[in-house]
Amino acid sequence: MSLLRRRQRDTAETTAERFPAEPLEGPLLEVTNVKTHFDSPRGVVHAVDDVSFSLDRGRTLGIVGESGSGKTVLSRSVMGLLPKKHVIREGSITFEGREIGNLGASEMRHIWGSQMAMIFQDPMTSLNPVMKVGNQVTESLLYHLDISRTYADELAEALFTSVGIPEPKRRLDEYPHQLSGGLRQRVMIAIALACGPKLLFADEPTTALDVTVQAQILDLLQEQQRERFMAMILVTHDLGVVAGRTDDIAVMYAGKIVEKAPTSVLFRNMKMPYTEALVQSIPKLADKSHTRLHVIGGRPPPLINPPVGCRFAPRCPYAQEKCVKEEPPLRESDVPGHTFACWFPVGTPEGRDALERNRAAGVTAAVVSDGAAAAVSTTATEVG
Amino acid sequence: MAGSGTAHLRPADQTLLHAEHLVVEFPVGRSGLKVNAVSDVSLDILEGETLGLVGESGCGKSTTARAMIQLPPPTSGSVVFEGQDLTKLKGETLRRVRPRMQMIFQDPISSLNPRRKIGDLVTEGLEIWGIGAQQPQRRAWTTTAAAVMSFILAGMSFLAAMLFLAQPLRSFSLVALIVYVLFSLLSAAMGAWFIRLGVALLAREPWARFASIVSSVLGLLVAWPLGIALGLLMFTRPTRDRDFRRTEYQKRADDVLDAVGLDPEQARGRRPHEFSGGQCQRISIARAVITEPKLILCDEPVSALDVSVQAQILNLLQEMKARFGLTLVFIAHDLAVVKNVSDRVAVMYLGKICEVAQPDELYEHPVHPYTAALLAAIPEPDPEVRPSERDALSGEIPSPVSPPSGCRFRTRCPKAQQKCAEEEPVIEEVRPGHFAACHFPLAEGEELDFTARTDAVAPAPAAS
Amino acid sequence: MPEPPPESAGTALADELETTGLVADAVTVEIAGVTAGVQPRRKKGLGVGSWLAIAWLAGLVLAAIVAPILPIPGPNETFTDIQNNQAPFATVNTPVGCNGSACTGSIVPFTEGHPLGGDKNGHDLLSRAIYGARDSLIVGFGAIAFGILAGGLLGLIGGYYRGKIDTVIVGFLDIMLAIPALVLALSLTAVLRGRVDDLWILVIALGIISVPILGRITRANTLVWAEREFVTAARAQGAKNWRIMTREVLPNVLPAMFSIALLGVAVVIAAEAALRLLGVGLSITDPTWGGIINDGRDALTQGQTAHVVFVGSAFIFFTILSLNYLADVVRARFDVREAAI
Repeated sequence: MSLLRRRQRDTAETTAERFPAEPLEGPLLEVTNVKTHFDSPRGVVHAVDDVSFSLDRGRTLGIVGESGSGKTVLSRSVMGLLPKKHVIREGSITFEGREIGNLGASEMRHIWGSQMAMIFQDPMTSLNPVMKVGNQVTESLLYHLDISRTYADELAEALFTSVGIPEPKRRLDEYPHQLSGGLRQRVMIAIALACGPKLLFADEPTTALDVTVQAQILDLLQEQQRERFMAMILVTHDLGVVAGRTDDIAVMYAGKIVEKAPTSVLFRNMKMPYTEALVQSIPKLADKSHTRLHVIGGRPPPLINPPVGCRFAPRCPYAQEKCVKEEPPLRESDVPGHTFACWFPVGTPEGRDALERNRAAGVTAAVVSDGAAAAVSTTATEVG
Repeated sequence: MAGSGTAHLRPADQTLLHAEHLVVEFPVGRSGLKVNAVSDVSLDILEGETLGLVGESGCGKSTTARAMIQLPPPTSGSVVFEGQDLTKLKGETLRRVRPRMQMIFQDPISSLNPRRKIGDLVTEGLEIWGIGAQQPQRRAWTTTAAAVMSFILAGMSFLAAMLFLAQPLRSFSLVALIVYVLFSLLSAAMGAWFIRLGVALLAREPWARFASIVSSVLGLLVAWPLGIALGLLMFTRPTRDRDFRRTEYQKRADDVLDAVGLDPEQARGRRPHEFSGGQCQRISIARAVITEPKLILCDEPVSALDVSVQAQILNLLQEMKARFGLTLVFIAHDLAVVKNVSDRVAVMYLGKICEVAQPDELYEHPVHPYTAALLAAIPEPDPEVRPSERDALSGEIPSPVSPPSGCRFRTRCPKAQQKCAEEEPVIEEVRPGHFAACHFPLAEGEELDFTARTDAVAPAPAAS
Repeated sequence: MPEPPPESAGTALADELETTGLVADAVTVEIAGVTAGVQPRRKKGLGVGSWLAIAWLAGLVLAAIVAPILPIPGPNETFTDIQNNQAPFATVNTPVGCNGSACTGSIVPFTEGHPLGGDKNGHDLLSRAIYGARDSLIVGFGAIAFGILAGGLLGLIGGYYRGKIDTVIVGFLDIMLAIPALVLALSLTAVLRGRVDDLWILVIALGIISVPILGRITRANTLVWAEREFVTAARAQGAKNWRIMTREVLPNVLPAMFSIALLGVAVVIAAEAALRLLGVGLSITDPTWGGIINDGRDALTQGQTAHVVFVGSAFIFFTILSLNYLADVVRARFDVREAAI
């Protein structure tokens, strides 16, 4: 028993030492040129390729992308939750000015839970099925804080109340399988928020939930964020989820961020054809029934030896030859904070011309000169 | 809210499928309790229509649809499909109707057998029924008898071999072993071939019958292990025209794979794990349409897919529907998706129907508070629309083991009154062509405040 | 499609992620999507271990089959010069005398032509081991074959149909499970001695013992696979139950069963050795691995040499080790990792 207490005191000291309480200048999280590549027998998989963004305290960033875009790998990279072997990492990740990209697990343990926390997609598999949910919350509390068992239980109960779990005292003694999906997700949020982290990663937190529960959970996250002045990164594939609840949105495709903007700017004034195509392919309530949906033909490119030019070019209705040969850099538009990577962006004269030309020809101009048939008709027939 | 009532049904002679008063209950372990998954649901579909079933998890939409195609049959109720009451059919007669009602599942990868090739998976429907095969199937008692016979003989000879051959077996020489194996192979092959020949000729040539039995007996006595194997083979592969199967079925499979947008040449020989989710879903669709069904049940077919792939599959379903003249039952929890594909939408809650209407009408003028709650909860991809707490439905869905009395939605409904706890509402026509089961349906333009609480609303029992 | 569809996701990567335990399923999903286009990590051929195991087993089986024509003496031929626990590594002529067990003779060093030495009766141990392999292998594979056929069938039917049929089958298997192996073997020996060769008594006895074990495992696997949606799909197409069982469920259950069967063979071989050691189905002249151990027991307990026991045990050990290793390799190879989206 005494050993345990001593260990807890140790960690408390080091945590306090490493992360002094006074607020720092500058962004909370700064990710610069981060690359995460996996070494597989067939080659190197460029899961996350040169991603940069920064996040201030109290702000919400939404990362939107489909499966294979690298959004989950990115969030794991920032958290430091990647496997040990076969991973190649580059770039810098600073949290409160301190570099954390190169820390090992033993050092990251001080950060996990108390500074940065994560909630996952499927609460059933993310909670330990053989441990009472109360214990799963107090586990984190007891590790990071120097408190007694009873106090931890009280804190856990208070946490449960704050995340909206009815009858919290009774719930502390229940197992995950006794709770519904929404309640489990609330438990997971309680675990994540237990030690008051400064940054919360929400990795598809509502994908497995019903739409009414989804709304409740998202409301809860927003409320907690406001109360605790917490930064949040919301990773999802659902544009509707990010639309109303984020300050900035980053759209990822094939391991890169292709567009980043404040939320309202993104929806009003999107520049990247992929973003436009994504928004168009979602069935909307306002549409009449049986509206034919716009389809993005084809599939995302393989991430081993990714193509040289723009990675979206083979599927892009605006594509021109330049797109296949040269990769467009991320540049700022006239609106501050809005960056995108495209040679022929949506809504610009070049973009409109490119689209017209392609439509007239019936095929995009993204034909690879070495003979490989990459020509895609604008009524894409490739399937995914 | 209750779905008791058939006001929304159309005349039975016009509909392709007409289900009335479906009830599905599951026992909970051995406690004697029952899960009331579906309680008195009536639905119908016109030919060529797409019925959308929408609701959250636990509302029973999937169970209702599966009960409609008798997988498994409902606890009570009637389902009339093409003039026949399916609930009254048993065994073989029910099986014969199956090719006309097919199903597509939510998880595209787990709905395909990981050990089989795509070509086989797709033609499975044809293989089962031998559709179009020239020879009538020999799944007759003769085949069964022959197989049983070879089993018995193989067993007997196994015993004989054990008893008499054991001693020499342990000191046999290599040469003897080789000779034994070759001889066994030969006689087993002869015996098996004669069995098949004999079966084919059983009705005709007495001499062939005799020869087949004798030679198979001899062959099996000597070659008992192979006799067992061949007996098994006989049992599972009745005589059929193989060549026809190979070419004709493959042609149809190719057609169908092409129709769903896959390259037959590439796809035929591969296994499901080599395909992406969207492609697997296409394969499932191909498998479903190859038997030319009238009705296809789509159980959340796009929920597990990415947005762009989802759009592809939804468009594909529309295409297939037009091309093959299908009738669809489309289950989903995503209201926007359901609106996109359906001709008629039914909203379910906790085993009952809340509301039935045309999609445009339903979404513009929701009449039932639950429908309004669902619509309010959908996140709009429009940053100007800020979600507010007023619109969020609170509480949890009650347990289906002991659902609330009267209207099942009353525990979360802001408009609930005492009447809702006492009396179960019946489906009525509230607007033209628009039906709902509610005592206090929403008037046109009425907005709901979900944070409001009335006296009759009991706290929701926690779902467990 | 202009390019071939993606191969399954990098299974090794998925393995990594799951074993570190730090990541939830979402990452496996993500990685699967990300590595679309990667070939499944197939090791180039089998590892060294697998080849050694296969070599041992193949060598053993081959030697057992062609034993009569091998250049080794017969198993029951006596050689006085290697009589009584000769150790191949002894270097000195030491007189030995066993009291109360009629051992005589001396330990002499390695004799040409008898690489493993001899037992107390002067039989060549190598020859006895190889002839003993016959019995062990026949019993091992025979009993398991019986167990798989009977137990596998029962498990498949029970797991597929569930309900009352399953209850009956499980009850039946439980009853069989309660039969102690030794008692069964002894009773069968008593009843069938003389009429049936004792080798087959053991096959029957151990086969009956293995039926419930294999049956329960098959049933467990079947329960999982029969729940899958492709089974519902097959039912929706109107397939009959037997067809579904054999074409949909069985191919998925078989790989696991195969590797369990190899493990079972190992266990049966050990059990057979134990039963022989205890003198069940006693036939002194028949060379078996357990018999070899039995023969060497006296010398061991009386403090002389252990090599007879060692030879018998070594053969059992390596055979079981090879079988276990192969079972694991088979399981790993056939474990279909289904790529998530």
